[in-house]
Amino acid sequence: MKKDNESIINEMLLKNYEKYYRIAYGYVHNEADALDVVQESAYKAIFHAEKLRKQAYADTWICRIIINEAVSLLRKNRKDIAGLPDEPAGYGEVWEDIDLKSAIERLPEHERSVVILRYFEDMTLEQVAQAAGENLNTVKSRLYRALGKLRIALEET
Amino acid sequence: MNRNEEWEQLKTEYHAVRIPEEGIERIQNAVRRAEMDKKRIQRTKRIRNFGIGAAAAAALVILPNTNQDIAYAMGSLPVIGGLFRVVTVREYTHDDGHNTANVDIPMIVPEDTGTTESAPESGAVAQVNKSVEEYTEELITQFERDMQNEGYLGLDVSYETITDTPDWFTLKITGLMVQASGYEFHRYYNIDRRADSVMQLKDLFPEGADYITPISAEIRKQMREQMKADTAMYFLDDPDMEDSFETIKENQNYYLDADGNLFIAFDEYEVGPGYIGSPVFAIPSEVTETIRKGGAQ
Repeated sequence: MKKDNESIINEMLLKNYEKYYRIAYGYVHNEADALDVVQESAYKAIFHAEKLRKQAYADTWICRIIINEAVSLLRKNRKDIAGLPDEPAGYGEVWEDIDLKSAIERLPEHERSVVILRYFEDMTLEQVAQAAGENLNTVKSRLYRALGKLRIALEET
Repeated sequence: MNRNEEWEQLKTEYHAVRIPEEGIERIQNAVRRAEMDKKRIQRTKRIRNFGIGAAAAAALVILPNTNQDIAYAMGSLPVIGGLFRVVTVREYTHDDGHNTANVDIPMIVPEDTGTTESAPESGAVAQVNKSVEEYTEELITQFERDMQNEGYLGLDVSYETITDTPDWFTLKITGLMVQASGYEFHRYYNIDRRADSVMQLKDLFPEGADYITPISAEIRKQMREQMKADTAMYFLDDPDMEDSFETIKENQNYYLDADGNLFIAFDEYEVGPGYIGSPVFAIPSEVTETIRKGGAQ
């Protein structure tokens, strides 16, 4: 019998939670926020399970929810500390301060997403496009733009 | 360190991030919470809509008397039937140690006698009394049915007079269904006392007038403001959700306060997650003044 969306998504959550947490952490860089993001995304994914159009996309669909949650949390936090200098988000205990890292930190969120998903999570460009909710060409040009910036940022130092 | 090494190191660091133990538990809890919320919504969609069709049909019969001209003319007439009082006509209680129910079934009666025998047999008050009775009976029936199937149920139904002026009367029924966690729902009965008419939201406006668009736009605006201020969370403007709030229903729950101000009410889970409760939005008169019926103020 064909499984329903809800069970598929539930299985994905239990199978890939490390990945979802990593992606969230890659944005928010602290444990408490990353946990909030993952928890809220799990709720939304199950609550709106029927909205998933193709079960084969369940994983990237959840990634997309994670990214959206993480980005809106970042925006909210940034708003809360409005007036402070625009520093990159806090340092996690695992992330050492290296030039490439800070260069990635300074990328706009939508460019950072494609870099993280493509190079750190080793997704294909198609998967990245699904997770970002964009078409393939947009994702490609974003990635090239991001890589260009990273190279420039690196040469400056 | 060259760039490739840097990439590799970053990647290693990225993958070294591990979810804390509580994370798995929190994910599972979120999954359970979402499943429960969904079930509850399905269960209560039926409750929410129960009897609304019948009330609409009854209101339609009366409508010919409530067109704009007559409503204006009636403004100068004395109030029909004197003041109202709401009394509990029947109580349903149940407690077997697992399941508990406490249902107060109200009835609108004339203030001067205060007895259920003197309740009017026709007109808007009779209509509301009948609908309230049917609705509460349905809740009780469902409680008794669910109790046998699932156990550990709680049902609590209470009522409250929201507005009571010579022009307008609003009775609010609040239901609370508890099963692991609670689900609260409401129904507002509005009576235009001068027209002696049960008023659904659409009856406040001339036939064919588009009240849904401006009211919905106002509510979306208020939702966005509250979300921006981080005082509430709604299913709105979320790219992941195709069922985000767009418009109110034609017969959306509402009430008027003593000054005739319009309030639009939603049930729990109707437009946002459970923790925001049952939101109510005050609609400024500017939003509807051009389309509101003169007699409804």
